[in-house]
Amino acid sequence: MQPLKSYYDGVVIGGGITGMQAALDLGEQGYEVLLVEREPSIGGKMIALNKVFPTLDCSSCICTPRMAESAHHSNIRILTYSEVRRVEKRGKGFSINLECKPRYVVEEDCIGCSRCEQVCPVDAPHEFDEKLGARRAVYIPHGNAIPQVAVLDANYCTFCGKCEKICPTNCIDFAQLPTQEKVEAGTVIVATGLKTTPIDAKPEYGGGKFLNVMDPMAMERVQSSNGPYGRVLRPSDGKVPKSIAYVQCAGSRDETLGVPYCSRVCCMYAIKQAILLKHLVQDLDITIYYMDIRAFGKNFEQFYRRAIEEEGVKFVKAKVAKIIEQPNKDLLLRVEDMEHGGVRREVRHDIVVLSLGTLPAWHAAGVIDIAEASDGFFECVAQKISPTRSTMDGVFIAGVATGPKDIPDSIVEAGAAAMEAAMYLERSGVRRPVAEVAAY
Amino acid sequence: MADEVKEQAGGQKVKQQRPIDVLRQRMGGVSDELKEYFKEQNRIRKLLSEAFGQGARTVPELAQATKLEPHVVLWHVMAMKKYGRVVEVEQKGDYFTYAMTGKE
Repeated sequence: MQPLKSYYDGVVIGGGITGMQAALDLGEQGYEVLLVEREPSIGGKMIALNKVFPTLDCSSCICTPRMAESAHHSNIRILTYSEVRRVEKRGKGFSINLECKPRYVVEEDCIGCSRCEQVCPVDAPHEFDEKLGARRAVYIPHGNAIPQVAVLDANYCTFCGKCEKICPTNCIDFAQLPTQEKVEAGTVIVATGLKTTPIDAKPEYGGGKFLNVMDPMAMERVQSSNGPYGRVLRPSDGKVPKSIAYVQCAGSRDETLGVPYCSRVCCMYAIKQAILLKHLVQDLDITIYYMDIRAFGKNFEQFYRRAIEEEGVKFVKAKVAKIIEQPNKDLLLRVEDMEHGGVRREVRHDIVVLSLGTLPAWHAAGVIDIAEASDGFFECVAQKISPTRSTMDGVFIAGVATGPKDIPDSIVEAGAAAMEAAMYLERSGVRRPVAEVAAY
Repeated sequence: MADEVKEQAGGQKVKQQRPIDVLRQRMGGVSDELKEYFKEQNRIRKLLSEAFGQGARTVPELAQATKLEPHVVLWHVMAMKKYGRVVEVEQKGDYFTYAMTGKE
């Protein structure tokens, strides 16, 4: 690994779209930034999405330029497969301990040819494809990964040495060890993103048990042309589905799950996925079972109307009480149809997607002493007028780390956090002189 | 695996473990769980190769021939497809058929 500098103006924790945007907004102003990401590639959740709402733009097409720009920016250093272990305030600045996990590949020498992956004998469940697809023990994280560098999962390695023998640049390095690094920083931005509520949180829905009850990220991957199947198929047996149901509020607005809030994006991503599925699979019947549809953003209502009037997606105001798996793995939904006096019906579907709720992907306990609100997201000290300020001076928060929101709102907040961080650097006097400033 | 013999300054020869063996030792060798997993993977691949024969098969047809669960068949067929050992052929009713390419 190339040595880190001893000081960075800003350390951004989280290499998703919010973290990348914050890093770029700081870097473009001439500040030196270290962007730390725990996965082997930057890109976060967005790089795994198929398309985005409401424009149906290709998610990769929007995200990969940001990824490439972050990777090549002269003021940004990316540190992947690494985690922040401790952030301590030192005067106005910060001392940060990092742990870098071993890839067992020399990053600077790897050309991303994937010959190691081709010869590796062990197939493992691929986390990027929500384990519906496979990768090898040594693998390139995905086609758009940055860095486009292999990583070896030692837990699946049989030590056959085939990857080492085939590598054209001799960059497989079994001798790598985890390393501890320490840097000083003028400011910190926390942009650690989201995870979904557990799919098995509501046992009556059979998530985690019934193969064809899917989580929305798994459906994103199934819809993607570079996904695990290459087309839309049912996970239990590879059948082309004829009928798909979405169950809204399957992880939000639910006191019993400890998620009393609305997750803001579920209605829109369900509508998005439904429209795309209609385009991908001929004669597919799609029903969205909802409590109420929240389409509050720009062009959201029009998108919802399009789903009904042009795309033929059915919307049924009903609460799904239970999902029952049939012997052939079809799913029977018991619903209480609220538009017809609460009459109970049983409806068969091939696949059910649970619109799961949004949780913060990371908690700072033991790492940074910033407060979390009662909902588990980081607390903003001045929500209305300065929503990116955490409870520690000089530490800023952005994106879903502060609460559920969509991609545009995350990007706006990233910019706000970068601006606040820049002002902090200038006013506090904590910034150290830098040798070069990137040309704008 | 044999350790490498290296000659130090002064002509003294010492055995030096190869990095792969150092990592193997550090990981405690290949775990029993991984050995079982790998053995099962190879067993399933052999069953699927025999079930494919020379033709194109759907996932339910392969499941019936191998007595494997259909979702297991699907996962392995897609893994083989990703790495070029299987190719999708055509749609047959509600399913697609797949065939082996002959690539090892």
